[in-house]
Amino acid sequence: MNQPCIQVSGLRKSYGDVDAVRGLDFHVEQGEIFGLLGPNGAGKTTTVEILEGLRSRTFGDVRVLGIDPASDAKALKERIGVCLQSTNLPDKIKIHEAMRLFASFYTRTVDPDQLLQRLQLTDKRDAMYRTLSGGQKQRLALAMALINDPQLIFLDEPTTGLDPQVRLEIHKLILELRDKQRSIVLTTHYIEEAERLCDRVAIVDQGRIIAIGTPRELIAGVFGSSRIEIRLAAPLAEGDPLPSADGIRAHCNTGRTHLTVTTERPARAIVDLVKWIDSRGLELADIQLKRPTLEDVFLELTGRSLRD
Amino acid sequence: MAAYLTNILITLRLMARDRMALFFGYVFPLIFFFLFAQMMSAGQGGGVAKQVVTSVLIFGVLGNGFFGAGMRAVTDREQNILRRFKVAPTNAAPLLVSWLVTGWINYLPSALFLIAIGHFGYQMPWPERPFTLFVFLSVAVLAFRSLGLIIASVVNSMQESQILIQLFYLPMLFLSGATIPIASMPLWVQIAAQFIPSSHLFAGLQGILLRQEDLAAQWKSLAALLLTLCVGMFLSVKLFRWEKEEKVKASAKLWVLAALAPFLVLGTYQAYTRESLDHARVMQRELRRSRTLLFRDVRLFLGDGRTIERGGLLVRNGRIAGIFDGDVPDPKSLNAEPVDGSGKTLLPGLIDSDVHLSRSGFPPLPNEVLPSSRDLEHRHTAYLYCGVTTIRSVGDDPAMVARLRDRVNRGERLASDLLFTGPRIAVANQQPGTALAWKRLGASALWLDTAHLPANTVQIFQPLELPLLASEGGPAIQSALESDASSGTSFWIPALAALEGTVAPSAELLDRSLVLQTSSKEGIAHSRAALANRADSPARLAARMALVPSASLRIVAGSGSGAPFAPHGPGVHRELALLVRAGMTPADALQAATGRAAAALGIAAHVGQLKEGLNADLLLIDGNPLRDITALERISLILFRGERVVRSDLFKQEDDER
Repeated sequence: MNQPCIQVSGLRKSYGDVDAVRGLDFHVEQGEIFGLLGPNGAGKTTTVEILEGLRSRTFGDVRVLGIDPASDAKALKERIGVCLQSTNLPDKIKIHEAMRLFASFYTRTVDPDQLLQRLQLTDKRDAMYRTLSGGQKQRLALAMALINDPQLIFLDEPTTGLDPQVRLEIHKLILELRDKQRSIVLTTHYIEEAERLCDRVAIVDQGRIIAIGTPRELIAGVFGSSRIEIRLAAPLAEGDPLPSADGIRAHCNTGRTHLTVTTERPARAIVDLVKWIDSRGLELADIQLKRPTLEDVFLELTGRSLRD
Repeated sequence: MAAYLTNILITLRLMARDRMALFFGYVFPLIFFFLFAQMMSAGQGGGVAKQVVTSVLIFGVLGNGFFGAGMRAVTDREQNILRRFKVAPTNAAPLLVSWLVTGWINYLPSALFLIAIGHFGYQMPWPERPFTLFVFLSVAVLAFRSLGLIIASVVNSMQESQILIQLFYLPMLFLSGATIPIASMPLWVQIAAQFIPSSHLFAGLQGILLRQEDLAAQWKSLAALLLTLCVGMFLSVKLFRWEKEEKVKASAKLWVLAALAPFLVLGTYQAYTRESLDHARVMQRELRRSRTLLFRDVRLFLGDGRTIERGGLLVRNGRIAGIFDGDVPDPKSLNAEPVDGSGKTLLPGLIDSDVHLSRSGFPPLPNEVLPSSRDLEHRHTAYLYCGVTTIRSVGDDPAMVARLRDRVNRGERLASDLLFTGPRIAVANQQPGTALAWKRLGASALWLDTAHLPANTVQIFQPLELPLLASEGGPAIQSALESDASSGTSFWIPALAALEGTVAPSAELLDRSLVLQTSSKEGIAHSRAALANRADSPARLAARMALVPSASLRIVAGSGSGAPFAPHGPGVHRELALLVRAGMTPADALQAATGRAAAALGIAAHVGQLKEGLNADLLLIDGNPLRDITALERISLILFRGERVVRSDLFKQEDDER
């Protein structure tokens, strides 16, 4: 049980002179959601496709479910589920036909109708593919990825281009899968998604992992401090000193209504700040504890925003 | 296996939902069908309808092959549909096979549909070899679809595939023969066309539909198609790409040529043997033979003793399809081309039952060489030129005559029907085996040198069940005539020879003219009595003939052409003139070269009379040979198996072939 379901070390992939992947080391545990986060062209898809057995690698060691994808891709494909970034099917294929068609390639399959029910597609069973909405198409793609009851599921940007509500539905489904002890590799460039779903995240940039860990670890590792923002009902009088204590640094804006406090011990600092406001007879309009996001982490690590 | 079946099933369902596929598969060929039927006046006869059906079937195969699976593969790849299959544990084979098979399943009903329209709408007979047709068409569709697939495998975009497909489709369409008859193109185009798979497809289909050829006759085309199918499939699986992002090198397009390699080999072989050029000529001949003609206002000499003074005759699919006494239906109502016969006489093609092709017709030269095959063909052609549509060669080498006959029967050359006896048999005990071999080659009688053979000769050859030509008198014929054992055997007795060596040079032609056939002892006895007198003048001949009861002994015209001063071709005309001079009525003389000759030669079921169902071997004469037998020389039109003989082209055939 303790054997990781994916083990990657020293993975490199070159296309001619171009190095798409320049040495990756990571592993994915059973039952976890592992995120590969990075901008377009970072090498996420290349990496995932090597793991799926669709692409060859140039160097390195890869084991997926104990199989080397380069030597036995067919056996591997039998046991994994893949949801491509954009799945397209013939316009006039019916949903149940698509399920049946793809089921035919596997030796072990689950009941397609049950799967459709789980993904709330039962009433679309006889609809043609072209009549589906974007969310329904994505749910179908997920259903197709689960047709062989895979232990390991690769989801490549599963929510790209979907509206927020559909995205939430998909998130729910992914979490359900984890509850059933499936391992999931998720690539995304939505930072909230990774933060929300992933047990661990590897941040990939230009073919390298620049940080890996739980979202919390990453944030703590990069910043180590939190920000507290305070809004006052009335401006702080000129000349009034800003709060000062051990381990906090405070600034205020020019209107003297907003205070920003940086601290490494946010819980303690909030208590102190509230006391300080109270003791001065100021009226507190709002107080927020702001933690850095993965977005901030990425920005901090690479100097670039994720969504350029 | 489940993957293959499911793929096929679902691809089929998708196809059934695809209006374009249905349009191009069913409606489009129909448009072509009616267009071609109109252009070629398919209503004229089943043969023309077959030709139209053949052409449209080819369009179907080509369209289905090039615009079916290949286009589908490229479109699906461009639309990122194929990517999804890539992550499943499969290779391209189930997909490719399903595309191949569904196209085939789509094609078959459309083929059947076309054939049915040809049958019900245009009097085309049902294909005589449905299984052969089915197999051939199936292999063809699959092979062309695999060509389409391999094109799809080597192109990088829809545009590229369009260009490449047109590059193959158009030449295949135009050089197949389905649109323009190959035989009417310049020779270099004809040769180039042999390298093109569709020309083999066309030739094969024509062979099966028009000539009832079987799969064995098509083995070369079939093998080439099968090889293309296998190579195409193999390369398609190997070169298959799931994503448009995966590009192939431009040089990969050369793989298409690999799939066409079988046809490169076949084309080279045929350019060498000229086999398919012959085939194309044959097919054009079939087409000409399938025309419908209606003779009107013509005198008909029926060949059974009767004459219709004013009537008509319908020719359809190479046979006599109707005889009209008096008024003739409107040609339009019969979809026929009218031929005006006023002042003319239509009679069955003439039959010459005694010719010697290996002899020149001149006195032998001191060091005469054997005739070349060209000489033989030339001599053979001369008969048809003169309106003699059937000849029997007597005394020539059976293998040589069989070659001439086969080329005519295959339709490669236009010349008279040819029967033969083989050389004269002079040594009895060595001969039955040889004679049997001749019979297998098609000998229709045996020629016995009865003067030198022992008395039991007839009994020796009787088991071969062939009529016997008794050229001389002698003990053999004597004993045969006197024995009951020979009662089933019929004998031919050339008159002069039976006169036991009393040949007078002045009477040779006259005497040679008399070929008697009898099947009963009484008849022979009569003939012996009749022939006891020398027939050295027309008057004598008349006297002799008067002695012969016509019921048991038939006089049949045989010119002996090839003998000195009897040139090949017009001999039988001269014979008939002599018979008339000897006292026969012109009608009786004409019988000796038509109906009666056919009966004596055992071919009355095919030729010799104007009768429904017989071969349309016809001779249209300007004037009335029943009044003046020499009118026979004024030939207005010759039809051989329904084909109008262009007399001026007959002797060009040899040149065209070389």
